[in-house]
Amino acid sequence: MIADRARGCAGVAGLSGGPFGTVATYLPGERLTGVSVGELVIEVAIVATLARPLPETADEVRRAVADLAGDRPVNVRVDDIVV
Amino acid sequence: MSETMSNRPTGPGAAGTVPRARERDGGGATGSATSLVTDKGTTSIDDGVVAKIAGLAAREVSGVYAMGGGAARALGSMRNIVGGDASVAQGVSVEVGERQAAVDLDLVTEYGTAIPDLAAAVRKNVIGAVERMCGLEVTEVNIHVDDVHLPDQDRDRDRGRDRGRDRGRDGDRGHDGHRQDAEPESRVR
Repeated sequence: MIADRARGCAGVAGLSGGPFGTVATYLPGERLTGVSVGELVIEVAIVATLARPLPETADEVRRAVADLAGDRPVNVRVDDIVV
Repeated sequence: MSETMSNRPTGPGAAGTVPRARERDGGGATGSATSLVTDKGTTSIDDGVVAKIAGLAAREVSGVYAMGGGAARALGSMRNIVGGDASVAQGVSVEVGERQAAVDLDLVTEYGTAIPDLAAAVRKNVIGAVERMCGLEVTEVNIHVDDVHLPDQDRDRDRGRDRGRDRGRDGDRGHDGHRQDAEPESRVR
């Protein structure tokens, strides 16, 4: 859901698990790396491309998942870039 | 634009200290169009990302031959021989805060470049790239010129590389390994 939308944004090369793979949602049967949905905050960790400025990419990700997030803030983390 | 620093999520904790101190000195100079801290959540950019962007921008400037101090370059060429990719962030160290970043660069220049001019060009390019790509204000770019690359070292170096690649075939070039005091990576093999 959120992960798919984030992956669809321009400038996003993929999702990242963070330094220790800690950014993840634990679902029955699978583990969704790169998106962590909490009670108060949603965290998305991405690997970006250099095609456009990173804040723009981050804003697009934030907009893309905004309706799913409700009124929770979406923290976007750029963990790496693909050169 | 909320100026609160407390709602910083999981950013690199210790790395943020120095730019934050500067931020207080700098005052309200952070009026960039796309803010990293919004009321709908924050954007945090990892140190490694900023380092890669700064490294790429510095390498773009002609006159920059290589990056990194002696040990980093030796390690980089070793990794190259083993088959890994050279890191673009080699020779770059950054400190990233919430809105600002400071960049330190280790360069090897080509012989025949005016180092102050080169440093100014590198500084301009790095600041431009980091500010545009990351939306971070760059407070300083400290450039340390580690070495000067002389033109005749190039031939030695290429020979050294050839020798590294198809070693075993030509054992007759072993005599040129001693003149390269400034190029530790050539001596790895």
